[in-house]
Amino acid sequence: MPTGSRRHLIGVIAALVLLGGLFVGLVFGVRAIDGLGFEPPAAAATEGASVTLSVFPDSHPCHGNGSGAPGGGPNPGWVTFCPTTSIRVPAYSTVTVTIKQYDTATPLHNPFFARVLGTIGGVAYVNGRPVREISPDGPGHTFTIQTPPNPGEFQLFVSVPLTGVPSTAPNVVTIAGEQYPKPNVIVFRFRTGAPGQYIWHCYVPCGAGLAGNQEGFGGPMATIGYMSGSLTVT
Amino acid sequence: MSAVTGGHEGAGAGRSRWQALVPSVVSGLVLGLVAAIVTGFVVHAVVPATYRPDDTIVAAYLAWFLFFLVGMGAANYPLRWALGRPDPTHEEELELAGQGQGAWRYFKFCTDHKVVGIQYLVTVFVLFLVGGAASWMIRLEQARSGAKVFTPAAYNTIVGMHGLVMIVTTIIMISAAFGNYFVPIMIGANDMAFPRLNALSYWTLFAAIPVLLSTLALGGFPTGWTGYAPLADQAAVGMDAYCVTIVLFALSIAFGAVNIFVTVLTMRAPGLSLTRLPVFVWSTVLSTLLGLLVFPAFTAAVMLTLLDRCFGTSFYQASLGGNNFVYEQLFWFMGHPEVYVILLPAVGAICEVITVFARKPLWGYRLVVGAMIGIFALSVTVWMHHLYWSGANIPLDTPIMLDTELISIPTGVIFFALVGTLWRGRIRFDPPMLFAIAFGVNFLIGGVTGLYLADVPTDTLFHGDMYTVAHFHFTLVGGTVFGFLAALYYWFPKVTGRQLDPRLGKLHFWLFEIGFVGVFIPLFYAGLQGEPRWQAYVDPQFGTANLISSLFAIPIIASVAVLGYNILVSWRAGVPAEANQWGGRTLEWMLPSPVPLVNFDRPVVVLAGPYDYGMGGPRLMGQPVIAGAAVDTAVDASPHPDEASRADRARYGVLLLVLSWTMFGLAIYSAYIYLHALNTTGQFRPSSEPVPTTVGNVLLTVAAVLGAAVWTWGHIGKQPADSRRVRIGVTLGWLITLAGLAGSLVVFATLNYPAPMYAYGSSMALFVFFHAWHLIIALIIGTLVLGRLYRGRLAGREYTIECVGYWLWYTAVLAVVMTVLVTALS
Amino acid sequence: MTSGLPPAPGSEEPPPGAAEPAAPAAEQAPPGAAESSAPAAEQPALGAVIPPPPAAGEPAGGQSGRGHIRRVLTIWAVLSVVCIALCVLIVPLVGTKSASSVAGFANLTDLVFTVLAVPVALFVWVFVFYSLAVFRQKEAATGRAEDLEDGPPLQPRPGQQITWLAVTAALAIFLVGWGMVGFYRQTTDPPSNPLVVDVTGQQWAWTYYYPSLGVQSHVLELPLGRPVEFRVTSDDVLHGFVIDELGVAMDANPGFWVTAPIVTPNRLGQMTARCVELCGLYHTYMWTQVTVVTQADFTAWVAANGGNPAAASAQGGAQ
Repeated sequence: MPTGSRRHLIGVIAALVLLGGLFVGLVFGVRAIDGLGFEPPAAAATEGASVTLSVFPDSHPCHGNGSGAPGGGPNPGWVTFCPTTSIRVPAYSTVTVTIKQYDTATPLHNPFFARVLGTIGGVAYVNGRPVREISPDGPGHTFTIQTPPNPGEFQLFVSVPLTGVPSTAPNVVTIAGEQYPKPNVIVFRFRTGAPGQYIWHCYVPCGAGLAGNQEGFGGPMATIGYMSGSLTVT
Repeated sequence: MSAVTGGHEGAGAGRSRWQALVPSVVSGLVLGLVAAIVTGFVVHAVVPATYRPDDTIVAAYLAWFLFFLVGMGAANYPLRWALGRPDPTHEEELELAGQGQGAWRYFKFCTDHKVVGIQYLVTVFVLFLVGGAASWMIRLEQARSGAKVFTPAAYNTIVGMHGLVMIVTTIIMISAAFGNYFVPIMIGANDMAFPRLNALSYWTLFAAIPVLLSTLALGGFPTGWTGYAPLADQAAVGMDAYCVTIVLFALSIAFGAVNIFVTVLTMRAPGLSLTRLPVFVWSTVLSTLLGLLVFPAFTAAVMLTLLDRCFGTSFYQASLGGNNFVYEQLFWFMGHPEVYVILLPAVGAICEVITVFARKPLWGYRLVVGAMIGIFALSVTVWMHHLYWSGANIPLDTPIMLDTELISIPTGVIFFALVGTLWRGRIRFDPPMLFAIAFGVNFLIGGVTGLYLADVPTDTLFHGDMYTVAHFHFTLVGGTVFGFLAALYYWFPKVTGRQLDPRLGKLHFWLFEIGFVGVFIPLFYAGLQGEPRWQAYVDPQFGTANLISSLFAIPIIASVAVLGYNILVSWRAGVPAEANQWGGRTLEWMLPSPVPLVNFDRPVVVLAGPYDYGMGGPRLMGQPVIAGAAVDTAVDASPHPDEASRADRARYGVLLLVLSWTMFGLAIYSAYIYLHALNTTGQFRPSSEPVPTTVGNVLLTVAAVLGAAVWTWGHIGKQPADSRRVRIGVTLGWLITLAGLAGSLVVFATLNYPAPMYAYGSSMALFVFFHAWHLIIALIIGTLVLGRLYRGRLAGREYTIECVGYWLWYTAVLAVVMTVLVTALS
Repeated sequence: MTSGLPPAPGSEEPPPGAAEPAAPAAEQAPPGAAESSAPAAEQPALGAVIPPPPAAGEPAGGQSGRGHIRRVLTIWAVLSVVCIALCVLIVPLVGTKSASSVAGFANLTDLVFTVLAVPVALFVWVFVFYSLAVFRQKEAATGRAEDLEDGPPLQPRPGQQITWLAVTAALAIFLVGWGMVGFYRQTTDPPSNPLVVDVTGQQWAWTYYYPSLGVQSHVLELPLGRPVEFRVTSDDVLHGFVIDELGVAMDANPGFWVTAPIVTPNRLGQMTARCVELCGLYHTYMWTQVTVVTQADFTAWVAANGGNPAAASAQGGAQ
């Protein structure tokens, strides 16, 4: 009997190790599947806590090999922010964000997001001129930062509509072999607090999707790396 | 794929590797994969680029399913039957049941109900591992606030996979695995009523598993296991895998339910009256029957999602006349009875275990059976308690609350029986009993916390909360999985002929119970504090509760390792089990362990009840008929049912399938009526979508009715199969049905609603398509019958004509309802 | 009932006495009838008839059936009192702190149900665990499971079954009645002139609009003591709007508005509104701060957000 018990003990431990190894393998396997949870590599803010992004009507200027290089990725027709949607900024600082907006406008469903909120001075500078609110038909996209569920802590909420380029504008810029119109340059600043994991998201229904009132909320609007991303404050 | 033709060598002769591989799971996989890829390419080439890739994927899945089954050899017998080949001989039936094939028979289309039961059991283990791994991933992510083990998209898919895999597993784990193995034995039969259908139900489920797993490669699905529209409409391609899995799973359940019900109805041994039927058999019958009745509603809901995604219909698009309430009502109409589908077999297993291990009669047999029937009946009326705060039915909240609280009465009877059976018993603490007792503890907690959710004031606080999650885990896991484990330890010796090591069994029990309670009690607390469900990022306020919960997942993982080791070691080299390992009274304990291919080589007669301990009667409830004694020849125990009972079984089976399909039709028509009633924005039917012509509708209906009438005229009055009247009636009926199909395709083609389709146009298109589908099925099975008729081999099988007639009449009634609906509500 | 077969020769059987007055769902216990075990004299073959165990007069282990029942009920009573006391102390601490009468009633419901549930659950568990401790099986002389001694063939009397069903039914009806009272109080006779807040859910944020005040906001600010009516809708998929402390729960359905029953905040403080219906990628982040402030602070907030402070401060102001 003692031999049996010892054999069982070894067997159980071996089974536990095997099972644990299998589980760890599964975890890494699931994390490795690109289509399941794509999180582009983070781009840290440059000197003086500045972040520069561009928004394009398709994915050619980035998404190459899952990074910021040109390529288009698996969905070249999707609107996207480039070079990445994972942003890292320092804590307790003033962050300056510059966004070059190359895409045309889509009417908002919820006029709330036509306002500039949470920035320093309550304004954003569109091509140099300060703006507090635009027409609900005007934005191509928005850049809206939200806080994770953490009611006791510093709440960061920043929402800036990114004015759309007129649909009749000529294509004058060439990037990564594709033609784009002259972009609207939007600049705004906000203050960060304690370190944390924030998210940001576009609130204009600019994505793919079925007809009707769900139009525009699917596809890139529901995929990280395109119209949604993360903001890490370190 | 070779058909099993007449003149083949008998069982046991040397067989070439080819004959072993084809048909088998190997040929099924190969054929299914090839068909899926080819279909995908063809559909991709044919369908215009403006459509989403959903059409391609769904077509590929359906091709996979059909050709997998063909590759398994599932179509061999129907084709052979249609061609009028002679019936399989007894030796061929035994060969189909796996005689002489060793372990490879588990990988083939094997008709032995014991093989099917073991196939289900092994599948359950694999699925538990997959679903369990997903749950450990969830706990890993939620252990620390702000952990980013998985991205939110991956996390949502993991949560959905965990839910769906576990729901599928808990539905089949007792009623399919142990039900298939033991229900025929417990009633003294040698197999199920429809052995081939049994194998079909298993392999249908098997085919659904790669479909579900493929979602991981297609972007996952973001809706959780409930698949709520309209998020389901918006989701990426992986959502289609979810939808098709549901459709296939519902089919598997329907096949299994038909089999079990007809088997218990018609194949009980003499002396086995309904008041002597073991509670396990009752519970399996009621559970599978309930599943048969309610799963079509889920299939309908998911099919509407697929239509929205693949064809641009608008069943769930609010601005085009659709409404998400349709999905919610259909889903929960299935969703609530489904938890009782899961519960009832566990209750049955527990009743078997506690009577054997307390060696006392079940305290209140009739009350328990009555309670299970009460649960069965009440469960289909209470689903709206999941929707108290959806906005769908606020005025109905009070009656639903009454109904839901009433279900606690029959559920309470189970505890009444548990208490009374244990009282003054002779209790042994083998592992099955430990799990049965834990059922009594866990399920009581789960059931009581359900009362809070059933009551409207507290549901305001707890809906969508971790409290809800903890509640249903206590009932589903703490209750029914513990019931499954009790059944496993109880029946493992009989199935394998080996004993599971009892010390490892007790270690498994304690690790699992402590781990399980430790995982979910903190989640009750988190829910009381307000933590919502599906949190990829846990609010730090709930961090401690979640951390404690995750730490207790470790004993659960350990318990799985212990169980896995125990099973593997014992199955191969455990102590041999006795025939009556535990001293039970039901019929399986009469047989050797493991049970041989032919269960009862002599017919069995039942002399006493299954729980008649201490009453001085025979030691087991039945015994083999003594040679020379008169046997009731109307009941057979051989694998070859005689002709009269075969006809009866076929009729019951087809009627049950028609009943299940009726629920599907009801679901679709109810959805239409509901959408019409909810149409307050005037967007249900804009003027751009015309009403289909009344003439077209009436013609289709008339064709359906006429086809059914002519078909029935052909055989009514028990006409012999070789008579002219049968020939004319059947052929003419078939031709009229064919004309009806052509007509409905023409109507479908002329509908021509412009994109985007509003809800009205979507419904019209759906109705015509639905009607056409019924006709296609009628024509396919009608062709089989026609084939055999014209081969002159239908003699003695006239009941098949009758059964096809049931389907034709059902189609005709559906057509009439459709015409009335379309004319009355536009 | 026992099988009615004659007792084995050589043993005594006391005449079955009158049954004791049944405590609710008490077990059937013929007086003094814990059977002693009969020695297994032979190994009967399959299907053979075995003699019934003698219904002996001497109880096993010196305990009488009536004694078992009394002991169990005593344990049950003591444990119930202790646990109910614990519940009354603990339950109010584990829930969210209510900020409206609706939520207050929900918390009270929680407490009342727990106080009722505890003795019911204990009733089952005390009987079960007592049985596990006391009524054990003895090992069979032959070592075979088939030869183990049987327990007494007890069956519930009709009176016991009816009592159990009646008690559980009464409990269920009480719960329903209580819930109906709560629902009635929540939905009937709502206060007139509530402050209307339009709640729009969109993947993945809640935005609020006060139509009578002309204020749009992403945080919710409410004046103390003023009834609030939430009208909820969604722009895209299904969301669930919940504020636990206020007792507000309503799904946000795309394409139309649903009105939640009116609630009145009755304490100052901060709380959270969350989404409880899985709505996709960032469902977790769909939450906002809710603050209940004094009327003066509320008027100031309205003014600061570009609304109409006059309408805010007028207590029954025109909508």
